[in-house]
Amino acid sequence: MAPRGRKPKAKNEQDSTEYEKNRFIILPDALTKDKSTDLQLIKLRHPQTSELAIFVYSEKDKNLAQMRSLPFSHRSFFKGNKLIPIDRIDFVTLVDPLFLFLPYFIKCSSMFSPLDQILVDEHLPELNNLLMKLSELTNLNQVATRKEIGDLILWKYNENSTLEWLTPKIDKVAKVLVTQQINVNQNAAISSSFKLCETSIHSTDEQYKRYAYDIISEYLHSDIQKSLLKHLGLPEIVESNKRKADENRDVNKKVKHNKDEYDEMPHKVEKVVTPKLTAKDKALKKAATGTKSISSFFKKSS
Amino acid sequence: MRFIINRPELKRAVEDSDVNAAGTNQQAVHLLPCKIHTRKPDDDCQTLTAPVDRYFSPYTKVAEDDKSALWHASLRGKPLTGVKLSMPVGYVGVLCVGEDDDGSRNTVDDSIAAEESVTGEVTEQLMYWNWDRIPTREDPLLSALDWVRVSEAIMTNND
Repeated sequence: MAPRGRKPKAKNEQDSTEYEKNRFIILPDALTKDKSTDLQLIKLRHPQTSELAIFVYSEKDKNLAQMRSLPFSHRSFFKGNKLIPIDRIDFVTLVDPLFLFLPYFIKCSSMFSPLDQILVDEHLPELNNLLMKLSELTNLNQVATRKEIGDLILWKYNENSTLEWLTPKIDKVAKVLVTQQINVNQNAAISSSFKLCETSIHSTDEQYKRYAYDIISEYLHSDIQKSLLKHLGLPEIVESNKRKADENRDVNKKVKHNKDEYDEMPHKVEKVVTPKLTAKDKALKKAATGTKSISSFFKKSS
Repeated sequence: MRFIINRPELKRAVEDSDVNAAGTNQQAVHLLPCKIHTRKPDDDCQTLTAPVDRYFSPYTKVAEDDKSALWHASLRGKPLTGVKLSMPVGYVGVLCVGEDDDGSRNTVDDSIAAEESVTGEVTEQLMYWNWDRIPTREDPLLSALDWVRVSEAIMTNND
C-alpha cells in the first residue's frame, strides 16, 4: 500500500533492490517473436565508461541489445489476481556492436593488426570469444581500414571513417527529437525532459544537434567525443543563457550533489553501470538541471 | 543468464474480441502508483495473490474504445486515474516474476553468464495508474518511452 509518512527514509532505499527479480522489460517485438530465440543477458564493457554493463544477446538472430533501467520504486503490478511489486523498468534496445568495438580499435590504433588481436580484453579474456562473434554482425569498414597481406586480414582504426559514420546519426537523432517534440532547450528544462513546452518551439537546429550529440556521446569515449564535436562544427563550451542559469542555480547545486536525481532523468535512462565521473559526465550532470521536477514526482509518492 | 519469454496464446483472441480488454479483462496488467509489500519474513516469494478482480474495478466515462479515454478506479479508498498504455510500435513489455522459491529454475552453464534465468510473459498493453494526476507525457515512464525511437536513430545504419 501507499507508504506511510512515519516510515523511515532509510527503509525506502533498501526497498529499491528488494524485488530485484520482478521486472518489467520493454524490448523489441522482434526479440520475442520466435520461441526458440536464445536470448542471453550478458555483460560487456560499455563503450563510454568501459565498465561492465548488461546487454541482451541472441546468437541465433544475430542481435545485440543493451539494457538500460529507469528506477521506478513505489510501483506494483496487478496481473489478474497476482500482485507484483517492481523496482525499475528496463528498456532493451538494439545496439550496433561497432560502438562497443571502438575502444578496442582505438587502443590498437598505432598499427595494422589482425582482428583477433584487436578485440582482446586484457582483464576479461572470456569476453574475447564473444567479441569475435559479434564482429561478424558489423561492417568494420565503417570504423577501420582493411589491409590484406597474403592471407592475413589486418585492421587499423580510422578516425575519419568513424566520424563519417557518426555524423549522419546526429542528424537522424536530431530529426527524431523534432518529430517527438522533445524539448532540447539547454537551461529552461532538459528538466522537464520531454515536456511539451513553448520554449521548445524556439529551439534552434544547433540545439537539436547538440542534444543529439550529447545522446550519442553516451556511447563514445571522450576522445572521439571531442573529435566529433569538432567535426560537427559545434562550439566546445555550451554558452548558457545567464538569466535562466541563474534561475536554475539552486537546483543545479542540488543536482550536483545528488546522483540519484541525475539518474532519474528519464531521457538518459540510467545505465546499469554507473559511469565514472569524467569531465563529460559533470557536464552532463550540469545539463540535467531540471531532473528536479521528475524526481520530486518520485518523492511525492513516498 | 538466460532470458526466456513466453507469449500467452489466449491473449490475442481476447484482444480481438474485446476492445475493452485492458480495462476489464481478468488478465489485464495494471501498473499501480504504489509499492505493495509482498515479502513475508520467512518466505522468499516476491509475489502474492489477492482478490483483485473483486475489489479493483476500473471504469471510464467516455466511450470505452476511445484510446485516450481516462479511466478511474480506487485502491483502499484512494482514487486513481489511469490510461491505457500501449508499448511503442514494434516493442512489447515483458513482465517477469521472480520465482526464487520454487527450485524449478533453469540452470545454464555459461562462463560469462550468471546461472539463473529470467522468465517473463509478453504484455502488449497495460493500464497506467496515477494517484491524483492525469497521466501525461511528462510522467517518467511515458516520457522514457521516447527513448526507443532515439535509440533506433542511433543504432540503425545509414544504408
